[in-house]
Order: sequence, then C-alpha cells, then structure tokens
Amino acid sequence: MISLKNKKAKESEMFETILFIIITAVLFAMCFYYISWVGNTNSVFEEQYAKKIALTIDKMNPGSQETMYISKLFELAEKNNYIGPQDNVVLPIQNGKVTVRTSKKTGYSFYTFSTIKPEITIDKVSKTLTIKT
Amino acid sequence: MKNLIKNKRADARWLSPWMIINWVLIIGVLILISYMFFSRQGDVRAKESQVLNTKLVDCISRGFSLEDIKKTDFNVYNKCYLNEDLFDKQQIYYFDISIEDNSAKQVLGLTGGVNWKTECAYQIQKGGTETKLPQCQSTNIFVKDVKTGITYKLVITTGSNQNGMA
Repeated sequence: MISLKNKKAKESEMFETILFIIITAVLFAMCFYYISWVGNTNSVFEEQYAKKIALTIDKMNPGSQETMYISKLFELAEKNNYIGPQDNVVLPIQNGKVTVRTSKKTGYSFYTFSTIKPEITIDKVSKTLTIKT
Repeated sequence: MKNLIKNKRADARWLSPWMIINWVLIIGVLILISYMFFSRQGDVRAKESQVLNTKLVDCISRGFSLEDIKKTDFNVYNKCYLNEDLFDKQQIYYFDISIEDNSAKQVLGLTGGVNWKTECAYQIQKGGTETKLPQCQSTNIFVKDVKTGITYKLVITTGSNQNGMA
C-alpha cells in the first residue's frame, strides 16, 4: 500500500517536473521569438536607415557626395510588395524630414538640421543610395 | 505550508493564480528589457549633438572675425546651413556659442533653440547618462581673428532631443 502511494507520489513529481520544463521552454521560445521579431520588423530597419541618412546629410558640407548600401530596405520592400512613389524606399526630403518606407502601412521620419538641399538618387541595380550636396 | 504546496497536484501548483502572475511578470520584464535594448540602440541624440557641434565649430572658426559676427545682419543659421525652424519652433536642437577674450570675459554670445544651458551642463557632468534630458556636447577652442589677430576662446555647446516619428 505504501509503495503504491510512493509510486503515485513519484509519478506526480515527474509529471510536475515535465510540466514545469514544458512551460519554461514555451515561455523562453515565445520570448526569443518576440525579441527576434522586434529586431527584424520593418520599423526597426526604417528607423535605423532614416537616422543614418539624416545624420549623413547633417555631416555633409556643400559639394560633397556619400554613397550607402540599402539592400536591406529593398529586401523588406520586396517582401511587403511595396512600390512607393517612383519606386523609392527613401522618399524625397520634405520639410527637413528624411522618410524611409518599406511597406504601405509603415514608415519612419527623422529631421535633418541641415538646410543644404541634397540630391538623393537610388540605384536599384547596385541597391545603393547616393546623396549629393 | 510547504507540505500544503507539496500535497497539491502538480498542475495546480504550477498553474495556480500566483504562478501565472509570476510568469506574466517574468515575460513582462523580458519584453521590457528587449524594448529598452532596441530603443537605446536607436537613440542617436548624442551623435546628432556631436555632428552639430563639429559643424558649428568648423563654421564659426573658419575665417573668424568678431567684427563680422557682431554685425546685425550676421545670421548663424544662414552661415552654418542650419534649419532655424527645428531650433526655434520645433525646439529639438539647441546651441550656445560664447566668445571670450583672454581674460575669460564673454564678448559675444549667440544662442538658438530652447535654453538647455542647465540641462546640458548637468548632462555633460553625468556623462550623457540621463536619458530623459537632451544629449549635449561642448567644445572649447581658441581662434585667431583674421582681421585683428587677437585670439579668442570659443565655447560651443550643442544639444539634441529628437526622438523621430514612426
């Protein structure tokens, strides 16, 4: 009788441990998925590139040129079937704002304090952005 | 109490309301940490402030003439290609230019944007760790007046508090 009770208790303990491991594994998997999702969403890259482009323009003096690779933006735009104005992922600067968009619903704008009006050209073949001031 | 918990069924122990609150709290903390990590990565205010500072130092010190700066038609925004609206209307940037003579007496001061003098002094003292305050940069350089040959000290402080728009 005692051994039956002990067996039951051991089974219950095992079940308890397995349940605990499963819950923990599911929770950690959910957290990892969430963190990788946050790090790979359109908004993260739009923000990164908008800030990068704005800072580059801020640094530039009249008569200079800078080129940067924006292949990730094209990759995201293709994934989202996004075709923006003139097929641009980086919109022309308006009211001092650099806007990066990789889908119809998302987009990120960042101010550039420089009044130098840059000429922005996008090469879809080499997936580069050229800024001329 | 220990026995009471031990005698409970396993699912009842791990899925009790207290344990659920515990799990929710753990998930919340992890989400918060990841959110803080990504938002911290995206904070470029210190870089912006640095770029603005370099730009002003370069622009003011090149061909420096106190007489020209003192003229009423001198406009720092036009000379340094700065968007005045972002300083005075949007109030996301700030600069303070102080020109001092060899006795450390200010001979001229130029400011733009909301006065963040106190905030910037505190932020610089704290090494830029105060996330709620604007990020600032300060530079001291000596420049020679191209017309008079007198040396002046330029103290340029800049700040940025731009967070961007999604």
